[in-house]
Amino acid sequence: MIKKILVVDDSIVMSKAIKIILEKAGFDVFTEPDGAKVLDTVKKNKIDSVILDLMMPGISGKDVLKMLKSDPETKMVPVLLLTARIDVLRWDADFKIAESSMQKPFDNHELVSEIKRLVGN
Amino acid sequence: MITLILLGTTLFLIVSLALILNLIMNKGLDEVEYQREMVTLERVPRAIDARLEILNHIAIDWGNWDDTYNFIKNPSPDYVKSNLNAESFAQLKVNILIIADLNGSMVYKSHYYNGVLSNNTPELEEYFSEGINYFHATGYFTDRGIILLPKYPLLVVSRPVLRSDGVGPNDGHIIFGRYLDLEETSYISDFVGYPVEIMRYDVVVPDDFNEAKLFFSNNNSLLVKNINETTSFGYVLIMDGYNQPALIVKVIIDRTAHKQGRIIQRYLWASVIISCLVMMIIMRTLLSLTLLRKIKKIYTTIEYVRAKDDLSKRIDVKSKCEIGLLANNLNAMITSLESSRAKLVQESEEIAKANAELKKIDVMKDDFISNVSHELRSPLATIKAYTQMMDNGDLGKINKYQKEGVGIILSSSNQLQNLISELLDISRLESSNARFQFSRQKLRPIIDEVIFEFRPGLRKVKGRVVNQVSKYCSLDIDRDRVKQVFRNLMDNAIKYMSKRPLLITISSRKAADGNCEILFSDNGVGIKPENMVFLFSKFYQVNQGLNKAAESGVGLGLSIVKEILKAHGAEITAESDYGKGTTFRIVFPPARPELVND
Repeated sequence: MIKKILVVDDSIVMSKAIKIILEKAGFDVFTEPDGAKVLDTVKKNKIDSVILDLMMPGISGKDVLKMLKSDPETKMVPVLLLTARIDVLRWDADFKIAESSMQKPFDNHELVSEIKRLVGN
Repeated sequence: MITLILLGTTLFLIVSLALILNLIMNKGLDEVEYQREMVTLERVPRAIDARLEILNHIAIDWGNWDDTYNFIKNPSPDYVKSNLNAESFAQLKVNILIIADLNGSMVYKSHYYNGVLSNNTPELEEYFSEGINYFHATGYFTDRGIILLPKYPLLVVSRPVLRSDGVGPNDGHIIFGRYLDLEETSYISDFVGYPVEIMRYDVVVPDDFNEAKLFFSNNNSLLVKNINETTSFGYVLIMDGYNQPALIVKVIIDRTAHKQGRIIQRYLWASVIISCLVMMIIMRTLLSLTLLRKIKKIYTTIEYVRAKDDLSKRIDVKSKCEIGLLANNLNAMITSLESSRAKLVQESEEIAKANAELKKIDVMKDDFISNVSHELRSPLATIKAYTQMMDNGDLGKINKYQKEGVGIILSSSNQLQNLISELLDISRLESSNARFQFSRQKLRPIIDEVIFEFRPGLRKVKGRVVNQVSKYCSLDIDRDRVKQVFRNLMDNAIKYMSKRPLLITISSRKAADGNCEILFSDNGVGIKPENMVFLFSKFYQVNQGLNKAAESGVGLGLSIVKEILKAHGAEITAESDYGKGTTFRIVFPPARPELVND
């Protein structure tokens, strides 16, 4: 089963880079720059894991996370928080509902390993 | 208190004055009294003299008389019968009559007493055994005086017997004697003015008379003794006709003057006391009205100002005297206190405002750094992601030259990443905006984790780490931050290793005062003595490391270590042997340090 990963990041180039990295690792990668649409996209495409950037304009990463985790359909989908502000993650309890986190800049292979771990490969 | 002193002093003065006056007055009165008593006592001999004078007149009467004159020549019973009967004696109040001729033999003698006239005069014989001559033989007897007869003392007068015209020569002598009996005594008392007691010198006398005798033996003749407040006894020595002590006359003097003096004294003291009381009352009132009231106003106002901390109050005392000046000065002082307090309040308000401003700036700075680091990291992440992909061949095959170049880009990107992290870190740590999560945990496994992270790096340099930290060493620490500390120390050790294979030893020791000591030793190149002082300074780097690690930092590693440990209440020091190695010593406190920010 090819696992489906959704990348949520307002930076197109970053989304593109992650897409290439993960596709090379054998994943099916979707991208969604708009946080409001994430929930629908996850449901529609039966996403196996979400990589979520926190610093986004419009709807914040935190709210997207909350949406995902409060919806019974999507709450079991593992979420990896990807952000430059790793300290924020540490101190804000709201983020503890995410399954994993990683700081930007990251090592490409580390990202791959972590995603593999999350989707249970 | 003031009142007490003033009143006490004045009282003392007045009383002293009164006492002195009293003393002077007493002395004066005593002096006067003594003089008067002496005067009185001097009346005693004069009194006796007066009585003798009366007798003398009788003697003259009878002495200057032809009948008597002729009687001596021719003693006839007629003279006796007509003149010398009991009635005459009674009338004359004469007790003894002797008529003697010139030879001294008694022509006539008789003794009258208690209505009994007798010629038989055994006392007289006894006394006058040597005859009348006895009187004159000594040539010493005055014509008047006292003779001590057995029954009574005798007032005696002797006159020559002359013719009626008073012409001599005398025929003989006529001697009249009168007993100094109670009647005479009362006449003497009247003359002296006070009751007298007459005591013969030749008998056993009461004690007080003996005392007087003693006194008189020293050639004195007058003695006064103050017996009590009302009476004095005066003693007068009366000599007899032969100038021998005959009588002691005791005069009972009423001390009227003295008593009067005492009464005056009492009035004096009474008036002193009354005037003292009055004066005290007046003074107290005056003081209270002028001084004390004002002083009270001053200290009650000051008390109020102090207690209520109300600097707007002033002392309400207006006076031209020193109290007024004091009040004015105190008021001025309160005014200046008020204004300096107002100034202080204003200044502290300004400081508080400045403080708030600074805090705002601090937060702004923190936000700024946070934002900046994010802004820097995001594009850096993109650079790294693509560079790694390129390096990996994910974007197409690259030749070895390209791979080399990409490697360099990657290494620089990593450097940049470290720099951004460290800058953010040290900025947070220094501004005390860094937050810590303390919990008690064992140190040994934390160090093991860090060692594990460094395994690939250590393998590359053939280095080894020995973890000898006691498994019982348990501390209140922020796990992630302490890991960072050891990471940085490890980084340094690797960066500055020598030619020989790197050996790092980490051990622990419990100090006597409960502190936990961690020792981090390496066998690297060590630190030169002149560089030691800069060891923990920011941006300080010694470019001596033989192993120039690709990801060398900017010299913030040890400063970060120091700041993190400071937040733990711990201290780090270093000892180094240049060429041999370095030992870092960290001393953790036993108790939980104050949380920096939570």
